[in-house]
Amino acid sequence: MGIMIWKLIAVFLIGGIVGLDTTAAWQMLFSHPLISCPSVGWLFGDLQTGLFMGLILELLWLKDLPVGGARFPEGNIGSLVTTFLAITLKQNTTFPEGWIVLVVLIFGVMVAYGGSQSIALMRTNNIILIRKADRFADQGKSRKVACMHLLGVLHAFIHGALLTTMSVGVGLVLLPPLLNILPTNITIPLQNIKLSLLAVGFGVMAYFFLSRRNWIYLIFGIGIGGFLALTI
Amino acid sequence: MRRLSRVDLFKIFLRAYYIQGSWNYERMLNLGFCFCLIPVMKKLFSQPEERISFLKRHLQYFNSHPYFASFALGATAKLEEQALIEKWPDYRPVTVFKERLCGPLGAIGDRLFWGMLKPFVAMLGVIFTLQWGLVGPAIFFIIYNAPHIYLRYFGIMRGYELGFDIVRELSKRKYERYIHTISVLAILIFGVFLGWFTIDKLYPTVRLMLQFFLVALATFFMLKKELPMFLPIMFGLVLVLIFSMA
Repeated sequence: MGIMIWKLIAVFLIGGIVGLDTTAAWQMLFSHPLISCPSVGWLFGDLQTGLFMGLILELLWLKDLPVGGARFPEGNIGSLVTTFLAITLKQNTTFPEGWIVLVVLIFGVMVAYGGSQSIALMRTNNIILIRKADRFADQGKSRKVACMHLLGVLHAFIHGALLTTMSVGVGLVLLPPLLNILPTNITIPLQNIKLSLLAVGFGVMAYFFLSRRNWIYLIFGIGIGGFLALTI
Repeated sequence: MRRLSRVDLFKIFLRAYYIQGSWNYERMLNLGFCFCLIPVMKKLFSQPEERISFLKRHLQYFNSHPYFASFALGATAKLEEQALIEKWPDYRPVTVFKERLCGPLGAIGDRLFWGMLKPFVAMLGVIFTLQWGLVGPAIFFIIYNAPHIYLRYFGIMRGYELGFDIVRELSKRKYERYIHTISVLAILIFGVFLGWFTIDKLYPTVRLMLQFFLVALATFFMLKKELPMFLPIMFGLVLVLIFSMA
């Protein structure tokens, strides 16, 4: 399966930006699936798939908060890889779409959990920059202290970019042979996948918001929603 | 006597977007914090010894929520200026003040933004995307970033205005009000969506309704038991496979 070099460069750059926005810089949430996946879809000529992926993946990774030194799954990078692989496999192979989406979703989960290990490694490596910054501070070289910090930012960019590109590469090598041996004659409706993952997402939302104090608002809301659906 | 201007504070505001760039397990946000305050050093101190001392005291341990760190940045800038004008014998109060702020800034920020606002806005984004496609991501981006950017700017300005007194501004009770309001609003919208979605999309097919509620409930209980996130995802996908084969 051929893949154009510009696509790989684009994946590298987008992966780096997503890696930065996740924790190291900005944190304006354009690394989140709801924004990054449609953007990738638009860039690679399949906005519909991008939007679909963003929709079903957005709520899944919110439970693990990027708090303090916590190790959290790299859900944003996992989602990006999932979307890119889904689009590429759809455009370049004849496997049924439902199977492609199912397989890349499982692969994306694995990437997310693998990524959490590499974050820990990156944060440990940053200690080297701190030591160097200490030495520059002793000499009063503020510009070099700032450079050490910016090297940390660059480090986060490269981490995101490499993790994305390597995962995409592994996915492109492993997934087509895997799809070949799966019983792809059984139809998997996309609607089913969407429903299941939206349900997981709404389970996550219930985990965040539902408590003994406010369940009454949930019942009240369900009543209003049901009434609106029946009358409008 | 040199004083910080609004331009200097704006420089801190811009740099604060990168405060977590060199996050590390030893001193966490220390280098990021120092990086953000370098414009203050350049403005206030000209002697090499003063600059060395400034850099060393801001390379000490610091940790906070990245958005709420703005309050600490603004207040520390103020204290540095105050210490210079009032000729404090040493800068230890600045360091102690910074250390004391770490806890409240982290606790309030994590709960308000990561634990409440982000999931709430993400849920709104998903609901809007389900209904109106690309409007959803736009809504998600705007609703989240309006308070986010405002807080970063306000934090620096307010911190600079109040100095030590910023501690009063960061009362947990004040933010608990916002957190409670968002959680009630979120659960209400969640309920409205669930009611509407069940009647409009799921009710016609019992199997779909069963699949949806089975997965949602299983996710909720698995997360309550602190199980890792991949389990409900896999459970959902396995159900897809089973229902498709059936």
